[in-house]
Amino acid sequence: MRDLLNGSYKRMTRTEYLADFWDKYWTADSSGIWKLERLQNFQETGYQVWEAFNRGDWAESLRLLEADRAEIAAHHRRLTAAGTSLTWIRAVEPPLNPYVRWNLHVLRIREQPSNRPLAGDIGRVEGSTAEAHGGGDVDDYSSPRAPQRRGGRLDAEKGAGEIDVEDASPRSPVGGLVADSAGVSKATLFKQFPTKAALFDAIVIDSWAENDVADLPPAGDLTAGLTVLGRRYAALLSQPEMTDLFRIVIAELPRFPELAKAHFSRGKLPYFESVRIYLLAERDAGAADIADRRWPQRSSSG
Amino acid sequence: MISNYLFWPSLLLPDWTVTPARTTAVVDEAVRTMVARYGADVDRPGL
Repeated sequence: MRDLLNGSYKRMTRTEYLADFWDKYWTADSSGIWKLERLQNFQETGYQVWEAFNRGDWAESLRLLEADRAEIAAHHRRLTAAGTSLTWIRAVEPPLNPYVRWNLHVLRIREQPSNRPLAGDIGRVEGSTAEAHGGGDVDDYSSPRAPQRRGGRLDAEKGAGEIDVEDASPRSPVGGLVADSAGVSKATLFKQFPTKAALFDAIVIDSWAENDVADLPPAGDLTAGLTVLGRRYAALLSQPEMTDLFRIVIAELPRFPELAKAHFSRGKLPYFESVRIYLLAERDAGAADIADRRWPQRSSSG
Repeated sequence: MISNYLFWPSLLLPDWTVTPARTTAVVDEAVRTMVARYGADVDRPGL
């Protein structure tokens, strides 16, 4: 495709570009349309599915996306009738940022016989070109196997924990302060955390990261097992940043209830679930007498 | 039981600190309470 850059070109306004794009789109021949997206973040202002995502409301975003299915199907029927097809190539840069993860969901919904999105890792970026390798179907990236967390911890999370959540959007002036405190550029912060919700999610996940729900004590000694789990919970709650995290959640609850839900579902709930599983194992081993399967774990941890 | 002593007071009391020994004691007490209630080999009069 790089040979396309060797010819003359004209810089278009947004209106000119869209008019030209759709004209060429609907008059493409049977060789089809190839669309390559390399940037790891786009501002899709006016697209309600993206607007919901940008507010941090994933559930609403996915609901709107599902509601668009009929319209998407009609679009593909029109493409087929026009005798053409669309191949959408999405370059992704691991670890996937929240925008790309959301975008891959969108592409998966849009996947049709005439529109098969492909995704590939960006191996090297030079100027305006990118080499993709290791590509695969979008499902390879948007499935639960896809990386959901960043490998290393960005200190921006700690910086944001001390700042008002609403102001901590990476694009706000305070976002610049967060970036400064983390020792990274604002662009880097924005790339990693496009929204305040994404930044908050990272804080919550990191704060509760020591809670390995898969690492349960063996059944057979109820006192020993509960002691292990209790000490683990005590260590989690005693982390210096945990108090700040709870203060933010409580303070922002009226404006951002989704933050509180994320905090509970990604933080305390997995811990409660690990205790519940352990207690059921003890019951099955004959070491515990539990009639109600739902609540004992909450009484010890509080 | 654990968070009621180790954590929640810290939201209101900036100087709230809990020593490691006290933490161990709080966890042990919580465990004893749980075992007394749910241990299969514990006599629980009245239950």
